[in-house]
This record gives sequence, C-alpha cells and structure tokens, in this order.
Amino acid sequence: MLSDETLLSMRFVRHPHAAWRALPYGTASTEADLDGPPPEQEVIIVDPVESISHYLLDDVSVFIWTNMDGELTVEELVQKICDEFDVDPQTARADTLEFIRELLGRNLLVEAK
Amino acid sequence: MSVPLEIEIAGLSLVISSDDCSFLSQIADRYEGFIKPPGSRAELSYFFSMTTDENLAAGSETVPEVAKGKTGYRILRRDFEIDVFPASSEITGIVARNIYSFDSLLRVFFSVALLELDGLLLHSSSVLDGSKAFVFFGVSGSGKTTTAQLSSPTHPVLSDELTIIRLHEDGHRAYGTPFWGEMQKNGINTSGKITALFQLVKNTEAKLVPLRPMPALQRILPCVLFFARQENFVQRAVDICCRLVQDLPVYEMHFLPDPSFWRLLADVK
Repeated sequence: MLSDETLLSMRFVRHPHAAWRALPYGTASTEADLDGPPPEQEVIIVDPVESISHYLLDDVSVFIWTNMDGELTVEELVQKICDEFDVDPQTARADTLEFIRELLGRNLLVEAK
Repeated sequence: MSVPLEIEIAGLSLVISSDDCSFLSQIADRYEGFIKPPGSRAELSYFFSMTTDENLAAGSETVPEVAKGKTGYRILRRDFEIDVFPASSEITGIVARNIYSFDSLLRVFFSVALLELDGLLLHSSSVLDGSKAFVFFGVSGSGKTTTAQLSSPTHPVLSDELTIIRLHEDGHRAYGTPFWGEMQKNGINTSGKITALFQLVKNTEAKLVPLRPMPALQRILPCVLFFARQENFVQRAVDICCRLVQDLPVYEMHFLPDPSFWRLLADVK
C-alpha cells in the first residue's frame, strides 16, 4: 500500500470507464427533514468493474471526486478542501487519503500522467 | 437453410437463419406472439446466422460475459458464443440446442442491443391500465409475479419478470416481452406510456412513498438486466436510467398480497 506521503504527492484522474452523474435533489423525500438546506444536486458513480453498482457521496467527497482531473496533487487538494469547508487540515488530510484509497481500491481512479 | 424466423420485441427484431429447422420451430412456439409477420419493418433489425450444438452443456449457473470483439462485441457463456457486428447488423455464432440457453442468449443480446433504441430491460412486472402502463420493479422475490397475477384478471400483463423500457420524446414506454417469470406465460406484445415506476416492498399496509431522483436511481440500477462492462454501454445505460428518474415519478410501493394496491394507483393516475 502506498504511504500517506507518497499519495499526498501524487495526482489522480477519474478512471475513464467510471460513469458519474449529478441529479437534482428533487422535492419528494423519504427521509427526515435535513438539518440545513437541501443540496442542489447529488452525485452517483457507477463502478465499471462491478458494472451497475454505485455509491452516494457527501459534499466533501463530491468536491474531491470532481477535482480529480490531474491538476492538483492530493496535498494541494487537501488545502483546497480546507479553504472550501469548515474542517481542520489534519482531519481533511486523513479523510481525503481514506477516500482516495477507497476509490483506488475500486479502480475508479488512475494516476495522472 | 430454411426460411428465416423473425422475433420482434419492442421494435428490435432478430432475424434468425439456421439449418436446424426443428429448433427454429421450437423457438417459434416459445416466442408465440412475438414472431413478426412477413412484410412489416422493425425499427432495428439484426440478422443472426445461428449454429446449434446438441453437445454444449447447459450454462444457466454461470454468468454471461459481454466482451469486446474485433469490430463489435461478443456474448459468451458455456452454452453460447456469438459475435455481434452492429455496423452491419449481423450476428454469427453457436448456441446449445436448448430453448433455455437460447432464451438466456436472447435476454443478454437485448440488454445490449436495446441501448441503440434508448431502451433497457428492467427486472419488473408491468401491466396496462387503458393506454397507460404501471411498472413494478424489484429484485427476485419482491413480488413482481404477485402484482402481475393480482392485476391479470382486469389488466393486460406486459411481463411478470422483465419489462423493456424505452425513452421516447412524447413519453417513456413500457413494452411487453416474452421473458417470463413464475407465471411462465409470455407477456402481451404491445406497449403503454409509463405513468410511474414503483419499487415493490412487501408490507402489512399498502402505501406509496415518493422517491427523490437519486434514491430512485439507486433502487433502479440494481434491477437493470446488464452484463456489459464496456464504457460506452455502461454510460448509455446510466444515462437512460437518469432520464427515467428525472422524467417520471418513482415510488416505493408497500403492498399486501391482495389487489388493494390498485387503490393506491388510482391516486397516481
């Protein structure tokens, strides 16, 4: 497994086979009222290896996923997350590394060339 | 070579040529109601030069594979192996001389080829109410056959197992199929404009719970019959499902094994 330091220095892009879509949040709800205003949209990733399987992502995960375009190193992305969300760098780094390892494990990311 | 046999389902036809006349005759019996009369044109036709083999083992316990071919794609399982060439609409290959093997092959082929017609196969029962269709989707054991059987006295059944859904500009449609479940009876060969999609939930009370687009998509995706892993096929199937959940109401339908759920549907009409 890649060390934290190695991962933080790498750049990744979304696997070209990964289908992902954003859908409007909509009005019909089966859930309890949200604490805050509902998001405008939700994102789903379809795993090409498992074919039609999927994950739901929270706001930070959506931010990470949509920024996986090979421009930023993971460390630079962590900084961007801290700028965008109310989170301390240590937590942001740990959560980002965990999520990226999950995506790599599911072949949804590849290293940017 | 005998006269080709043409099966048409939801506007997609498969014209089958083979030396094996008696197996073609079995196919004609099995797909009664979906054998196309000569002279009419389907929206999309494929021409299958089929070879049968008595000695191929049955393969229902194995998962079929859709693989990339040289100029198209291949569909493989222990009991069939075909090459599909979309550019020329031709298919060649071999299938075990067994109607169940042929039926499995047909389902897998339709799961891919229907994408060309903005369509897919959904694990669902479906019934007509006048010109409108209600689609009840769910995994095995969720109640697809039950809802079809409870509806059948008064409502024509499109399928009790696999419905073809196609996107249309003037309203998405559900099509009857010969892909049966426990009813072991072909659906009727017609279609209806979909009023709503219902995820089946067995319960002790009957109620409808509306779903937002994303939860609806989460529920529908596992019910799509789909074996292809190729990027273009996966992307297309996901696009079709996204359109469905954004354009149509989707509900959880909690129901008892009696016709009371039809009272719920009256509110959806």
